[in-house]
Amino acid sequence: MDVNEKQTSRREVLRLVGRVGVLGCLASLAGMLTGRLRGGCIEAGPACKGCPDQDGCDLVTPPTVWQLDPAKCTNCGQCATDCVLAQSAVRCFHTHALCGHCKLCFGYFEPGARVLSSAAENQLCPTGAIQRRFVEDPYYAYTIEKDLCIGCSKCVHGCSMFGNGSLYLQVDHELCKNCNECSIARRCPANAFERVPVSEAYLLKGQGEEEGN
Amino acid sequence: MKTRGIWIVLALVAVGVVILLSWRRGGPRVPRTYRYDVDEYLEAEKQVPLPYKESARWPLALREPRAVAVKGDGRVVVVGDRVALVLDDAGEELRRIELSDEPRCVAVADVVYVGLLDRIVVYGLDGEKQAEWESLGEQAYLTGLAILDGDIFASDYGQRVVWRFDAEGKMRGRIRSASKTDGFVFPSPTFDVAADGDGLWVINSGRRRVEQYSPEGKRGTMWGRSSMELDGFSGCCNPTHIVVMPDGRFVTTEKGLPRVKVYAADGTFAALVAGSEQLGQDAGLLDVAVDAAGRILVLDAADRSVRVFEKSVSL
Ligand code: SF4
Ligand code: SF4
Ligand code: SF4
Repeated sequence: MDVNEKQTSRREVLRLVGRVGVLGCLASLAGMLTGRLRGGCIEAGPACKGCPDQDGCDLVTPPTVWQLDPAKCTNCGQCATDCVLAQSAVRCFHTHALCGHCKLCFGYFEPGARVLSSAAENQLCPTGAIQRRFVEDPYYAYTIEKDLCIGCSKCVHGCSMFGNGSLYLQVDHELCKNCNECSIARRCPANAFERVPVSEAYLLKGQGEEEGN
Repeated sequence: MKTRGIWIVLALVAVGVVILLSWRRGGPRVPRTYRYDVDEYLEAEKQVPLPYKESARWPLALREPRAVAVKGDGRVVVVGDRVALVLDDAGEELRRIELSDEPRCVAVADVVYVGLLDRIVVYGLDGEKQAEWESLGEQAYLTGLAILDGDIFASDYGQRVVWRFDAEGKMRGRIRSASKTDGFVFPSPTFDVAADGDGLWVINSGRRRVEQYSPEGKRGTMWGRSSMELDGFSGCCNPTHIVVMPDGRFVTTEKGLPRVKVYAADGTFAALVAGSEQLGQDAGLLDVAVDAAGRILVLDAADRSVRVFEKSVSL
């Protein structure tokens, strides 16, 4: 093979690669546009108001949202530290129907608390987000002040270890930015995060019984 | 030479990126105040001598083992899924009895009494079904069975009573909460019953104690205290199970900090049989039985096995 022939064939190969590249780019651009142009729209905006195709439109409503599976969570505490928000979008939820309404609640008191009073030194929640209310002897009701909760999972750990597991963490959609890549999910050691359809936006314990805070 | 330099720079950048990524993988340090810390109690357990040692472990072909009981001749009955397994005293399966529903508890004498959610079913040790007693109602949730002088006592978490039946299944009475202000409290289905010559021993787990009752339902002595220390019962609802040993001492099991312990006949703490280190932090509910030789048989549902503990030093 002479040198000229070698050079020609290298040039042809390069040209071929270039063409394939350009074609590839054009194809993906076309794909993106056809995907985005459903109903003739490119992005959500004022025109969406009153649009009959709004329900289920990818531009208006993202098809999935982030949730964590409480059964997988190992209470590592990173939900409090890893969210992109200064105060995590993960909060403590409480299924009252599962709660034992214990006087000695291991989600409320520090393990080994000597006095079962609401004094700050007896409470395990670092932000005092759990409210304790006397119901009738020996039962108490517990509610979570969502604004104060930072999703640290300390109460969840105590409740699942010693109690009925009625306290658990969950992503609160009123706060969550629904990041494409959830920064907690990326580092969750239990792989507890998953995307769920918007139509079933919450993975709650004892679903159908009672939920909320 | 120039290419070599570029490669070195690229390699250094790659190493840097890997280090940075792996450091971030561990996540930012979680402040200590966010940690649920029971280390002090786990550490204390480790300092305690263990006079029992695990001498055998019998794996069970069950997805969800629920309860264990021992007959006087050493045969062991384990229930779970929808079967009752009859084992010999070395854990070999002798018989597999199919059940109509999921079992919750079991007791054995000349026959096997299996507690389903709302009723008791009686089987011969040959596997023959002998009787199915009436349902105790929609609220029933049976959690424990004991036999005393031929009568069968069934603790019912759903209705907070201990039912008393004769051997034919005729109801003879019920033991209710002894007092409105100091009665039964069960935040979770941890309501077991055992029997010996002194009567019935009923777990009042929400009050972290064991209460003695006459067969007619009169409350007698009580023992047990609420504490994270080894001699007490921790959590919202402990102990979870109880059995009386041939010499009158008690064996109890606990959840949360999984523990199997021996208490003297007067309720004073005698020994730790196994703690979190031996049982694992996720042990769940542990039923327990004691055979005539004093071996402690712990049903480890998480491990799907019966774990046999024998005394290695005298107490
Ligand atoms: S990061 Fe994962 S394991 Fe840790 S608290 Fe959040 S959900 Fe649980
Ligand atoms: S202990 Fe942590 S997770 Fe629980 S309520 Fe307080 S801040 Fe929220
Ligand atoms: S998706 Fe974003 S905002 Fe929502 S929990 Fe994850 S990191 Fe926080």
